[in-house]
Amino acid sequence: MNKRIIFGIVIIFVMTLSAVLAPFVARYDPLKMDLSEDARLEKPSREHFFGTDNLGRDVFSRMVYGARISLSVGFIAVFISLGMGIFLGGISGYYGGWIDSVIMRIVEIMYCFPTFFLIMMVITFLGPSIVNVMIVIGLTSWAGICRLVRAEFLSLRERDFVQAAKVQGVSNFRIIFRHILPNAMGPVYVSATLSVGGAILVESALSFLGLGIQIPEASWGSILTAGKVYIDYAWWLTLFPGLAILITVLSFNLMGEGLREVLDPKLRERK
Amino acid sequence: MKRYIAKRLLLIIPMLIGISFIMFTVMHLAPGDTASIKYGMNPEVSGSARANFDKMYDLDKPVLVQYGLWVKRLISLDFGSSLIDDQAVMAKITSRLPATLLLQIISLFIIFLIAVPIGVISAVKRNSFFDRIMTIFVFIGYATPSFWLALLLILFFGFKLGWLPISGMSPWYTAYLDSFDRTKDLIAHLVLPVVATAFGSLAALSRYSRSSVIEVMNENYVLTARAKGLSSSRIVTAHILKNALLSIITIMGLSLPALISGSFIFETIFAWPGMGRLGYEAIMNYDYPVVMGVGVIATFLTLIGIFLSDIAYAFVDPRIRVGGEK
Amino acid sequence: MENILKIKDLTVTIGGKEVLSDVDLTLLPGKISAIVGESGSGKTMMSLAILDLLPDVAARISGEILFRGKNIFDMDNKEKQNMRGNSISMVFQEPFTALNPVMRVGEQITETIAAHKIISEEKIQGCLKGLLKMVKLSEDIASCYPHELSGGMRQRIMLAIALSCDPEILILDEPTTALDVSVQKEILDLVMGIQKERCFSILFITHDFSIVNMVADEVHVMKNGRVIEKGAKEIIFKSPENEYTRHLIDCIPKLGDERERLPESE
Repeated sequence: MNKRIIFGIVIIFVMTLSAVLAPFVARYDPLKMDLSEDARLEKPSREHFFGTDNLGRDVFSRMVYGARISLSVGFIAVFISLGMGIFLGGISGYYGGWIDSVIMRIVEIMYCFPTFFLIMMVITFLGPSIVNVMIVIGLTSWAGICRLVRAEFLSLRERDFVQAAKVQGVSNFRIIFRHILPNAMGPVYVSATLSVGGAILVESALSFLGLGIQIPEASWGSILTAGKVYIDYAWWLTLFPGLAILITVLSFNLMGEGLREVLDPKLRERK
Repeated sequence: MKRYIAKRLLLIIPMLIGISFIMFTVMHLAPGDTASIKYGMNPEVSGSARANFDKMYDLDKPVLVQYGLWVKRLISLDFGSSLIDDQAVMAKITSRLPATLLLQIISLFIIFLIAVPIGVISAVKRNSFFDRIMTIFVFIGYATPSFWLALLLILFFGFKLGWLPISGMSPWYTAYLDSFDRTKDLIAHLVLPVVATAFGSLAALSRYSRSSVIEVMNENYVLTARAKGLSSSRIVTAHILKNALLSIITIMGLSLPALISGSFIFETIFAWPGMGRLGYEAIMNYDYPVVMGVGVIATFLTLIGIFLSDIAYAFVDPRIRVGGEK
Repeated sequence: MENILKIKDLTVTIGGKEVLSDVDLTLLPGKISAIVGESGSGKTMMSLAILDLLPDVAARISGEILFRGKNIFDMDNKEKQNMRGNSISMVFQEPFTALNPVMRVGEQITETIAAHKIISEEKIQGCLKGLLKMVKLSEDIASCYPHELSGGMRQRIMLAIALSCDPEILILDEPTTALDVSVQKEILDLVMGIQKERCFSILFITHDFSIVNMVADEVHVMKNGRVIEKGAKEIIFKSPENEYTRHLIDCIPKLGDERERLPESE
């Protein structure tokens, strides 16, 4: 089996498991503050693996709970964008004509937008919360998957099995979702896996800017907000959450690239 | 060529309509009595600003009329005035724009100058030591949260080593410097923001350059060039590079939205007095006219950038520049 | 007779599949040898092998290709570059993709001369004019880009490139397959005319026996990477030994025969 996929899966599995079992993995209550002088901004030690933050909270515990947020935002946002991308890409590629032109124009517009600022705007107007972050990331990141699915549909709809199904009078809806879609999923899996990493990055940036998770709860990005303030006193506040994001995103990307290689033998030869 | 440019310009129109529509929708996202909810969030909003805002967005009129008026304002670049200090939004933006353009254009050049050679060398020397190192760099580049990289840069070069300034563009003392020292000081202030801005796109573009060079290497005309007995350096520079550049230009155009998006984060982190920071501050203050103005201008800039990359493409590709078959 | 190119026991494997098996072939000075076979018979692989331009991925090569007695697989890069386009040159099948779309065709011709001959820019321009005249194109074509030219014109440019350094061997890989029938004849006549004048050897690769009949002195018939029959054209056409050869000859369309007869009836 592909080395990249194994590396990716192992890390993602460990991260997910510790997020689910957070109460058992974390040694401290992530929200418990200790404002006494010798408990705040403490260096990493055997008691506090990754040190403590400005309010005396255990950074490691906050990161373990934060993993719940980062991972679930990643998964749910991609789930939403997958749904939209597959639906719009599917009807666009299957029907063609004016439906296709309209959807493709929308896709182009999405590509030209500085998406991150759009997300920031929408979240301000809706009010910052982690649920809004998930939804808005999902609603703004479907264009790539839509294009992909459309391209697959364009080539698949001419195939014999589709023509046969049409002749037999199978409904369009059924042809799209039961006959063509399963054959088009290969590249979609790859793109979806890569998108999870992308969504985690966007969430971390939003939370860092104060538009994502709200205090007192934490995600990896929001721990970095404190990291920025105390950057000259407490390097651990900056280093560890960032590394966690990097490793997680890297795992999803490696897994996606590995999947791509496995699913596309042509590519393997060319590389 | 003229027809091509005209066609590209015309294509921008439906884009603008789409974008204005999205902006308009975003503006109306907040449920219920839009205006009062918005002011409720910010105690600083003054009474006169509130009246202005109501007038500005014609919230009492039917939706379609509102949209028409909104498009009209958009065309005349009139976004009203800030809820915080009553200054005209457009004046605020124009005063911030040069700093943003400076940072973005320099970053774009750096990205191009570093990423393309990396991509070409990796492609030509595929699976070499260099190529492998660059592949690892690309994977890490893709996965690094760029704002975190910015923080690390501040930590190391600003605090640990003390080599570079970590915030602002031109501090008070630059007024007392001669033009040479002032430029030096500006460059010093630019280094970290540029590195942070360029990093993410660097990975993406070098990867993309690599694959487009590999694609061109498989073209028949490259085989012809080899069969002519040209040296490999001539083949790379005269035949492969120019053709690969075509797709690289396109992807640079498409990477502009990400660059502009980045400006909102990096200008905030490095206290860079540009439009991105203005937008972020406006968001934090619920200063809606400014938010909308920055959003529209940022999107305009992206469209102009993509249009410019289309023109650059036409200059490289004689099939567009010289026109159809004789 | 002294040979100019000799291929001995050439075997080429790509991705585990043998595309050429124990091929032997001798090219005589001033003669036109045809290689005939259907697509996939390994014809193109052979022409690429002669210039050592086989795809470097997964190609395994054994045997020898001797150009003037020297094995080209023993040459260093410099020697190979000197040979390509200079002593041995090649015209490819697809005129639409074989020229660089973003370079003027004039430069695509002159860069070949510049790569092989140490002469002044002025003289190079003189050569360019001569070459364009030779392939019957007007001088101002030089400043065109490939997309402005028709398929036939592009193939003439390819020919001008191939002949720019007075090669000893010209390899023509299906040079007319992608062209209209009327243009095909023009190009063939052009090549044959120049060859008569200059007396280089031609290795003519084609699937079309009617063209073989028109141009070749010697014929090699290929199937599945092997040469299954070879000899002088007259003998092969009169009494083909191999079943497959006979089949190919029978397939010559009647139109081809007419084309042959036409000049006589004039």
